[in-house]
Amino acid sequence: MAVGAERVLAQGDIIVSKTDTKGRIHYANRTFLSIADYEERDVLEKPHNIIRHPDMPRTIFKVLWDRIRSGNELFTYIKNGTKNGDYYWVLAHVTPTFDSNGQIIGYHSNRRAPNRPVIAEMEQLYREISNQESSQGDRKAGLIAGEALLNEKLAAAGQTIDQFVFSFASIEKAAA
Amino acid sequence: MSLFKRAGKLVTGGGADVAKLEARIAELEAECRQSDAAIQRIEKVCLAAAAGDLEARLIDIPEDGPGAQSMHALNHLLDMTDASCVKPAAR
Repeated sequence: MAVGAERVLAQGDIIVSKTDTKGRIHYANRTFLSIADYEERDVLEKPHNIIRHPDMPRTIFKVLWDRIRSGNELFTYIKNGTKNGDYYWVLAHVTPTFDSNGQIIGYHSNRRAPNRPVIAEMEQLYREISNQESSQGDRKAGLIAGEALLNEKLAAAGQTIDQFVFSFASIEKAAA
Repeated sequence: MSLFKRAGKLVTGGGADVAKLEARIAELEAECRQSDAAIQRIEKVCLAAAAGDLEARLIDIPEDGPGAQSMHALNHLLDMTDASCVKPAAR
């Protein structure tokens, strides 16, 4: 199987995108377009999962959507795919955008470059969760099993997902 | 070379190529119109952001048109402002 090459987001660069409440892109900054090899017209009105990489467990996106749909933010490490099959890792911060009445009108994501040691940890974790997902008979059961495994791991570590993600901040700092 | 405009037509005193000059003027006028349009778009987004709409951005930027770099710079300014406003909640 052909494996894409890794692209690295420069330290200090920031990928930005905005979507409507259904996850359709209505803004992608120049860094987004250049790292993922898209033209703006390729991505506008398209679902954000246009850049989803097959190595990413669906569980992570379920956790993400559960979190932001309920009006909360999430930090998470994500491996994204480019138009031609290359990939790049990011630390994504996803937040809902509210109107003046407190209604969610869309979502916003800022992504920065994670450091190398974090990527190796995430590759390992995500592989385990993906394997768990695909070991089940169907997609739905796979998603339940994947989330159960993630929760199990978090419980064993005595961490919430936020604490888990932020626990890598020390690695980020040490490597910086 | 002296250059006058009479009844909407260029008249030159030094034998310059009037047709070429007219074409160049038309080109510059078109560029001015594009620049004006770009400045108006930038102004609109600046005003929206100033009024608190940090969602405002410029899309469909004509990449080789005048003002393209300024429009990207404005988006970048708003992206960075947004990024520093949307601080993670304390947990």
